[in-house]
Amino acid sequence: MLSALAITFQEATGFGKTGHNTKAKRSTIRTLLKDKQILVVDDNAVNRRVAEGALKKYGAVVTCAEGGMLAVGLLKPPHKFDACFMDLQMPGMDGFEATRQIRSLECEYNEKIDSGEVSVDMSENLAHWHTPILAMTADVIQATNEELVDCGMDDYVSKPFDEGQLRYLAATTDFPLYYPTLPRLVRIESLLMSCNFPLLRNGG
Amino acid sequence: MEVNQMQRSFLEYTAALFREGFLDSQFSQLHQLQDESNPEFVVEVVSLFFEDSERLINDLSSALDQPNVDFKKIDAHVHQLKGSSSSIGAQRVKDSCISFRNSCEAQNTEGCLKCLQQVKQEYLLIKNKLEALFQLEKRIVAAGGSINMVEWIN
Repeated sequence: MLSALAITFQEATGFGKTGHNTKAKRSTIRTLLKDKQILVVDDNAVNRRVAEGALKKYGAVVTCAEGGMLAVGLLKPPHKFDACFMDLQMPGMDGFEATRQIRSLECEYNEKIDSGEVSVDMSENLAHWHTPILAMTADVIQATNEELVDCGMDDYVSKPFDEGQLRYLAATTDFPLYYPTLPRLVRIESLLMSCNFPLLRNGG
Repeated sequence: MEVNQMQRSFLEYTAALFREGFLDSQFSQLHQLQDESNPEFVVEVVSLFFEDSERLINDLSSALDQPNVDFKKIDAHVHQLKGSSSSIGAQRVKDSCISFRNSCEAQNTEGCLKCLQQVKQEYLLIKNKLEALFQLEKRIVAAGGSINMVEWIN
């Protein structure tokens, strides 16, 4: 009796479901995120906690920052982060400005690497710094693709942040349908496949 | 009450919250993030939501009480409240934030005051309902039952 009720209930609400992910898909996300250092930047404490919970579930090591200024400090190379999820609208320094400043710091640092002013450990594949920064937007109209590309964002996920966003992040050709309406800035696969990105430095 | 009966009430109560539009699928998503490694996740996030909302509602009341209403500031507060309510799936609070932002954009003080009343009312409703749900959850667990629906089905 209870089980019949629970099934009907699940169909109506999605509550208590294990999700659309098959074990294989969950394991893809896990492989992608396991032990990765991820920075979550959002001024809203509830949003931060939810994003943190979703990322930690897949084994990521999460650091949270409350604003753009803090994010710039944390993402000034060299640093430990593999990727960053960045809110756009924040008081003080917003996500656009923070990303612009981070890209500019990376550019300066890359020039120093090229000129030999700083040495790099080539085994870590970090001859070129470009931390993937993904915007978290509450609605698609909040920013145009152009604005996001101009400030140096790599891609975006929609808020509220949940497992769906991670499915999107880990999207492979066999499940591209979760967010069919979202135009992509950069195909996330190519972003993740590129060896220039520190996301792959631990062989993930 | 017997565990089985409490579990039944839990289901019916939650189903009603979805049916009446108090909650949306984001609330189910939150439950999916809760596991043995963080068994209190949902309660923790919802408590953050309560704290956050109460602060924002107070800030909104005092901002609307000024002789010269700063609509930009009000919009920023409502944006916050909309963000947190959508993160926990408090659909009716989120929806009232959307109309609030429209009144704000139109610089309509009267409209903003009405929306504040609406937001307050929706917030108090969902707060009471979620607290009741958590109480029931506690009683089920205390009686040795589980609220893991996957187990109920199998």
